[in-house]
Amino acid sequence: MKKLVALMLALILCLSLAACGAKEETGAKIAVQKGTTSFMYADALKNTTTTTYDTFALAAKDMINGNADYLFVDKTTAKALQKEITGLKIIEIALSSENYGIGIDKNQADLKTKIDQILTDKADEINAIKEKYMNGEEDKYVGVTSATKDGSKADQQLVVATNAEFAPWEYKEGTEFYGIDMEIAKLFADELGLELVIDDMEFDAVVGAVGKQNVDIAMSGITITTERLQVINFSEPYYTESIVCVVKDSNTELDAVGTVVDMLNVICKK
Amino acid sequence: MWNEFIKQFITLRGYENVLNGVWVTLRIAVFGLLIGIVIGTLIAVVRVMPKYKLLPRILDKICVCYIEVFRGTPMVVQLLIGYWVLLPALGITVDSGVPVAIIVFGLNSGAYVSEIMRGGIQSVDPGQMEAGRAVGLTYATTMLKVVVPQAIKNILPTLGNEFIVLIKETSIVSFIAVTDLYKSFKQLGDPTYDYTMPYLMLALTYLIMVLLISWGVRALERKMKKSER
Repeated sequence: MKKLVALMLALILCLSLAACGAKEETGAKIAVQKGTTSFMYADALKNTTTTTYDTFALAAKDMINGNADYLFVDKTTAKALQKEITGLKIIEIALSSENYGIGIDKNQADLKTKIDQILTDKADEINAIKEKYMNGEEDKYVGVTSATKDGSKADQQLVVATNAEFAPWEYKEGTEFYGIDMEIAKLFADELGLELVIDDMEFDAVVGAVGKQNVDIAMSGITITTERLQVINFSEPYYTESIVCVVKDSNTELDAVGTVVDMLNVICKK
Repeated sequence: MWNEFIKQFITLRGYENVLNGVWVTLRIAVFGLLIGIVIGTLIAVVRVMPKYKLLPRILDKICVCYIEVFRGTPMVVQLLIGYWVLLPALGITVDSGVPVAIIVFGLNSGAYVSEIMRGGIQSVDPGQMEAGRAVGLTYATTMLKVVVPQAIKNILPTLGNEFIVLIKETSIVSFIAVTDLYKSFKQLGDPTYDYTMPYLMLALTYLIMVLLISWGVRALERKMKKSER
């Protein structure tokens, strides 16, 4: 009886561990942040498995830990990640080209007109903000503070939804927000004569948040897509970005490829 | 709203992801509970052992520490530490976070099951143990053949409850990049940012799973009660 019980327990443990080890997923593993255009791009590929993470930084970390093969991410962010996380190699071939826009509440048509106007009028200042972050001139970064959201003052506040985990576009240091989008948001608020409120949330919630709970605009390195246009309005594009593939330093599979097609062939046939 | 959900769910084959999510959720809960029962039983037996000698006393202290640590920290934190701290530290690579989730759920539920099991063993009349010893059975035989079977019958409803808790708690595994039931439904809403139908259907799916399990547990209980008459 004792032996039987011991045997049963051992069998159950073995079974559980076998269930752990079972490999049911095939193909190369692509790490992306959930709700991003990188996810949509990766998800459409055949013979691969897409794994989604809360942030690109976590996705990159997991690839470094060996649990994913490739990371698809916006090029500017890839460069920022490379500075923070050692062992990343960017493959300098654009997988796609896309336009970043500022998401605007559909019910505030005049707000879109005003924001587009500021984008044109203040083009020089906006370019200066982009340049200093792209060149890593850290001494020139200006932190942006957020006021507390107050529903009773909805008319006097510009509420910006963002996911502050996407350097160099938006990230947090202490209680202050930094990044290209954040400094541009500050510019908008100043120009519109409103108090700036930054609403920090998960990226996949950002687009859906616009127009609800007093959120006026979304600035989070958001690509203009037809799906998102069903839900919100967009400003004119303010940056053109490409998705690139990032691998571990030790991964040499993609060193020889010269075109997007060659690269996709390597990724999808693994 | 309804049409969009049907389009995502059937035309765009979202149901494949959902079925996969059900499978992942069930696998984590079932194997987590099995590991939990094994660990829980071992700990419970150690904890009710007579403590005249040094070894049982030391083992008892270790088990108490284990229970306090796993009951005193949230499961999310245990998952995060398991996946983001321990895996890289040990240099292990995995294809998906499911094995990590199974082990963490197993260790966590082991702590809870051990307390359930201990309560079950202690709820059996001490006279049973004394009678067994008096007729010349060893401590281990009395424990395994007389006390534990009665204890298991007593704790069955609580174990069923633990299983239901585990099923519902699996919705946190998306923290370690696992696509479970919650995430598979959420992805149906992502293209349109309208989560009304996906979240209602998600609730319904969990509810159906839990109702089926509690029905199964009740049936088992009824079957075991027959021996009382």
